[in-house]
Amino acid sequence: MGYMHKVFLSGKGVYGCSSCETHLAKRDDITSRHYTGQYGRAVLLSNVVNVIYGEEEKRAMTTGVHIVRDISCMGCKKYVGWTYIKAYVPEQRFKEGQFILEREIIHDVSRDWDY
Amino acid sequence: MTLSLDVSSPPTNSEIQGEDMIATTSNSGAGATDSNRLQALSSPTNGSNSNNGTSPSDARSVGLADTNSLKRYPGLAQEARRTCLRDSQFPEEQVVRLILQELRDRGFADTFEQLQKESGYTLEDEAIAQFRNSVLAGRWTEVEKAISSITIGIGSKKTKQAALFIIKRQQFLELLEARKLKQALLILQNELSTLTDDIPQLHRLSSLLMCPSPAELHTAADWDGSNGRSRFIVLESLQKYIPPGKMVPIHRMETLYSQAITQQCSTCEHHVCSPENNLYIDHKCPQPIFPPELQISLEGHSDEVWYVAFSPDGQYLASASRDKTCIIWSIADYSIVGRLEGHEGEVSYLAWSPSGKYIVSASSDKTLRLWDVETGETLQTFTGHTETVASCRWLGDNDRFISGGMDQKIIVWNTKGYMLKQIASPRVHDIAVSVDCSLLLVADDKSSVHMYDLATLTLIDKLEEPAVIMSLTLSSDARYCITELRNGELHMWDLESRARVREFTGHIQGNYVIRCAFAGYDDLFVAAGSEDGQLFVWNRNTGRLLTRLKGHTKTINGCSWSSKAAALATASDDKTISIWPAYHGAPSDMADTEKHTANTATSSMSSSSSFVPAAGPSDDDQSMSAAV
Ligand SMILES: [Zn+2]
Repeated sequence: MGYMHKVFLSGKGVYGCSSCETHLAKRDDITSRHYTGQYGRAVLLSNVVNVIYGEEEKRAMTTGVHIVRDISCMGCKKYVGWTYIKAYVPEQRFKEGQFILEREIIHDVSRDWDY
Repeated sequence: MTLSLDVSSPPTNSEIQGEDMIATTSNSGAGATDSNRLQALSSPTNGSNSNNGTSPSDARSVGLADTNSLKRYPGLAQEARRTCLRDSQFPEEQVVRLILQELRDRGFADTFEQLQKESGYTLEDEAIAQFRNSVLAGRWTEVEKAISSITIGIGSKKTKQAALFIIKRQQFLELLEARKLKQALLILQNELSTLTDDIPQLHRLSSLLMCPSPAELHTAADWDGSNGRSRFIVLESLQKYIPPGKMVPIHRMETLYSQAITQQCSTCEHHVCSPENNLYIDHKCPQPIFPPELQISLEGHSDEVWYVAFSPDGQYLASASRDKTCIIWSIADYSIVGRLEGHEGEVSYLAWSPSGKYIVSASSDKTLRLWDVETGETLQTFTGHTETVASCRWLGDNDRFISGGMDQKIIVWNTKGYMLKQIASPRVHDIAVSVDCSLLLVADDKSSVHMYDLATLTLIDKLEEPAVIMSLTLSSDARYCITELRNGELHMWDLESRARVREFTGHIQGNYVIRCAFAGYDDLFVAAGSEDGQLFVWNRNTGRLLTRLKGHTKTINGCSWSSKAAALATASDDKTISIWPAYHGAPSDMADTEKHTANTATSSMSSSSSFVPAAGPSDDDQSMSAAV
């Protein structure tokens, strides 16, 4: 994988890791709030930063079978969500290349969470 | 000095000088010793014996010289010119006089005389010879007289003054050395002061009057005394004012040879090794550079290796890894000589102290650690950064280093653990410091390189890139800087003109930091890793890709070059480090090959290969696998 420079997001609506505050995503990049993760509510995002990737795996979800990779926080290495590599159901293809962040594991580090 | 002393022939001249001087001096009698060659050289009549003695067996001298008239045999000379020299663009007089100078300098006295007579050219006329001897014998009044006479050929009043200054300065120093302070002072006041407007120079000279001993004078004046090489150096500087036609510039052939080799090196695109000063063939570095069969793989880390650096003496290699440790490897046997354990986060960067005794490492645990290379122990842990430490560099000595972090801080530390200075900065992706510590470069987390004067920490300039800068690399002479960008581009800047002068392409790079290196002789190459596991090596001046080293299975994150080890090292995500020795010294290797072939010619006639290892094929296989 290699060494990555930690990215610092600026402006309002920045999501960070709840255990180490490493920035993970911008609220503006949310494409849907109607998702459910392993720990409850989750959001779908078009872009995230400072994450490291797990191995690819095939996973059966309520919307069909997908190939996904878990993502974890670069700072503390804790699991934060996953990313879609491939969706087998054609209607779900839009999720390919997008990310899920678990709502329970992230919080707004810019402190103006209006969710 | 390589004079062979012939004990049986006694010194012919009472005016014996130091041997050093003799080797390069006179064709008159001033400095003869008991060397056969020089003795003959010093007295022109000596040479005539051998000259006239055209024994029938000596076909060459019979053929080339008309022994009675001492003129050249015209028929042969013309013939020779037709067959060999028809393309020579250089005047014969110059060529012959250069040969004469070389013969004299190397002490071939008989041949020297012979050639003067045979060609009709002389190296130097009587006046010049006398002038030379006067300088080397320190007869300054004579030298002064010669300078003003027309025969030496120094032109304008101004150049005469400059020449006179050199002479008077030497005289002044020699008087000081002999403790004749009064006379020295007179020269300084009455003569030197009228010859120059360089007041600081005069001040420096007058301060030398205070030197209590010759030894201290030598050091203070950077001058090695009347018995050293100083008079020779004076002669060399005076020669600049004498027309070259009168006095052939010192070691002229040697100068031309060196220029030829320099020129050959500058056109050698794969220039990786220092030239061998072989005059027979044009210099060309052998290919391939970094032959793949010489690759050595080092295993010891349990996770990705992110950075690697040779020690200043080239005997050790240090690697930094995601496994939170650094390892010190011996280049002699590729063994692990130390494991640096203690960081609580990944180690992304390390730097050897100039002495090679310490390593400082930077980690995502927000600390730096100072390690004793010998014991592998942590000497200090430096806390002060509140975010990942991105980079650290030593500041010239072995006492201080500088670090930059993602926390918008640049900190100067000393090895005792104290924070000497803290500077507010942008978030730091990388920093670089010139060897002389005058220049500090900081790459921020956007797309700018900030150039600071390190002494005053004032911003000199900003270099703008089109994308986020991932890493910075400075050439040893601090002239060039390489920026590696998130968009995959790799740029070289000329810091003198502050312009982007080159782009290197071919490698693959995205979100991860890849640190490149200058490599090869005189930093002629640029080496950078790639996410396809290859190391790319380009020519710095042409931008041409010279080679791709394949040997890692995953991204190469960092690389390092050592001239002393004559090798590149690479650090990879595949958890290994590779060492890539540069192919070194082709002509001598070829000679070895020939030797091997000769040695084993009888025992292995069946082999058709021109390279036959001395110990037979089976041993060769073994050594090959050991090397890989
Ligand atoms: Zn975290």
